[in-house]
Amino acid sequence: MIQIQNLNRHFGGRFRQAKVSAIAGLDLTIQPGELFGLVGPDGAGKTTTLRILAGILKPSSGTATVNGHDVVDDAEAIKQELGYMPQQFGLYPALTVDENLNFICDVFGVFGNAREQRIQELLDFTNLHEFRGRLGRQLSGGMQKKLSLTAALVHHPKVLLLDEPTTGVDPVARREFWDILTMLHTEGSTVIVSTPYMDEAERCNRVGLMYDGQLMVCDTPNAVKRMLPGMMFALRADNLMLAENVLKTVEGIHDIQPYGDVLNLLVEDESVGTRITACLHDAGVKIESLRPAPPRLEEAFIYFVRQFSTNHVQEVSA
Amino acid sequence: MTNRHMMAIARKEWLHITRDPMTIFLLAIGPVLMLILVSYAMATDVENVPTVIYDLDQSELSGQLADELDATNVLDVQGYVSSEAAYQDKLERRKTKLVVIIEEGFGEQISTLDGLMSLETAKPKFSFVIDGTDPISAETALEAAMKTSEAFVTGQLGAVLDEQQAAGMADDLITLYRLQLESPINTTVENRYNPDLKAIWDLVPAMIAVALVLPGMSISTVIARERSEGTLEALVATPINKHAILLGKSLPYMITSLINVCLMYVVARVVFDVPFRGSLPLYLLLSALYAFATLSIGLLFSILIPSMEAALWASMMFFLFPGVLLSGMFFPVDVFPFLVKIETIELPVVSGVIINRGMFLQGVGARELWWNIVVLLIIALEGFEIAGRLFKKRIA
Ligand SMILES: Nc1ncnc2c1ncn2[C@@H]1O[C@H](COP(=O)(O)OP(=O)(O)O)[C@@H](O)[C@H]1O
Ligand SMILES: [Mg+2]
Repeated sequence: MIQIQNLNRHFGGRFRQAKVSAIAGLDLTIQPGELFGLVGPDGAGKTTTLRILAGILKPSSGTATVNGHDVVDDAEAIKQELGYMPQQFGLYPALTVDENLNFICDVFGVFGNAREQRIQELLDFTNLHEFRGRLGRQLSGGMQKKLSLTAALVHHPKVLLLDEPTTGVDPVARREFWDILTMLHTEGSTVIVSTPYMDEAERCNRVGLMYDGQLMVCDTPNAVKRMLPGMMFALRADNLMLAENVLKTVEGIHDIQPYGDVLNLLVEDESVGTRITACLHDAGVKIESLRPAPPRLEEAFIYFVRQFSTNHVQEVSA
Repeated sequence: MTNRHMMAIARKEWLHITRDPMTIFLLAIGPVLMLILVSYAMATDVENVPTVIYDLDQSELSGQLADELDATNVLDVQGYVSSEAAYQDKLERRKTKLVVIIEEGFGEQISTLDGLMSLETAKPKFSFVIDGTDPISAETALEAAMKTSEAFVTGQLGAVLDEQQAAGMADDLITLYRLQLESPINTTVENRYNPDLKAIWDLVPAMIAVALVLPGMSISTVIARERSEGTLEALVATPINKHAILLGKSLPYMITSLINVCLMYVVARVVFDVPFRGSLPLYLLLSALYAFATLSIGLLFSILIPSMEAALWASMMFFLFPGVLLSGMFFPVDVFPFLVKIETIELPVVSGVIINRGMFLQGVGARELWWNIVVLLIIALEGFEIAGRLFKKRIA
């Protein structure tokens, strides 16, 4: 189990550097066996959070424990039970895939047959067999990510921390990655994965939406989406550009997002629908269809960020 | 546990070293190569040392001697001077390195046998004034000048003796004269800037100590390299023991250092004919201690200095400069007395130079070197201890 209480971490502030607050007042509890998604844009504080949990970064204040071990006082005990995959490729670029894995096995004391078996198993898992002799630096971004994951799994960790495992990975490899994570989840591992992609967040059993060092919402993807007030419309029309411009002035529309030949509209309630039809008609836009649509995490996230920012501005000005 | 971790790191570090051609080159034969290159550069190729002659005799024979001196490879006689002030001036302006003074009466002295049987002071007298700033070429030049002069005098007197023998001089008298011919001249040497010409023997042991800082310099970048390659984050997130990381990283460097010590010992003895007067087992032991001390400091730099370039510069200033100054490679210590003060600074390379010179040339042992041994022990253990304390398994 992972418990984070009122965790803060800032950087700088010395030698006249600007003080940056990377995470501010984070509270979070993750149960064993969860596949938890830490979701947020660049600079939200995901990496900082995972580093603190991995015992390689000290919090400025607050506490965090992993399986009962404190991240400051008991960091080495955490490292025994943890698999950590950094955002950046953390294995040796001058060593081959095999040499890198052997090194990790050396560190974790996996020797002999057990080692060969484990490496086989993991390479099956990640499809890296044919690249065993290749140097780390010669691997593609996606293969490097897979190798990092493989290395993090060598010692059967109870808890896995994966920092943006799919950033910079092609869509096929991304799917494979998520298959692996889902498999680990069903095997009972606790997996915490950070990602900037909302569509990936849907695959977690619980997500925490992070922004500006704080957790805005934390629940199952469906519950998060249900928190969205109002409803979604999907609009198809002959002139989407014009439609978008027109709808910007219509009251009761929180958000407009174009998706290919569809405009997704987040609106206050169903009654806005008639207003939309009327306005578009006046502007000469021909509506092909206007249907209620299920909201996605992306809309939810944008909504929460907007709300969070206005609250924040109010707080600051108050 | 710690042991296993250490071996894991050592193996990985070894792979790193062997994978990168530059590093393997630098570590495997860098020190030996440095020793050979520097020592050879200093030892050989002494040619055409500018020489002037102050001829007080002005005879035909003194002129012949000047030609003989010029005929050697080592010396290049550039002309005559007519006063002491003139050659002083040339020496000071570095126009000449060697002055050969031929005393008055030289021509006469070597035309008869009279001088040969008399006192040392009555023998043909030569004075040499030499600029010893560059000890190796000074010594070579001086030796050439003495040999040539001696051979010239011996030749001349030998001819006179042959004439006397033909003229019927008694045989036992001839034998007596011939015996005297073995040291026919009386020389005085005035060494201008470097009284007891430091020779190659002095340089080679010092260079061994200096060359052995290369592994220490190399290791000063290892942590910075992990940081810049982004591998430090993954490494510190493993449960690996932090002292094992430091020891494991040192181990391959330690091994290459010891291999180099053996190679350099052989090169010093065989190639440069340097005598070794101490105890070999003690020498190996102290060399290992010295290597450990430089590696400890290198590791400490590695932990303290976040960039590879800065770490390399720091270790260069710390290891290489004092060692090079002390070795006499560029400036003879006797000429610049302040350099002697370096000996009193407790740097590993200083103790290394003192130990190497002492064991090669003076044959001293642990009793005479105790202070330097203590210094190295403190540097090695304390350096490693502080490195271990400062190295945090964290990234910021
Ligand atoms: N080592 C550091 N030094 C200074 N600032 C940092 C450091 N690490 C992170 N930050 C800052 O903290 C904030 C959060 O960063 P990070 O945790 O990396 O976010 P994310 O992983 O979500 O992109 C950013 O503004 C970043 O610039
Ligand atoms: Mg990040």
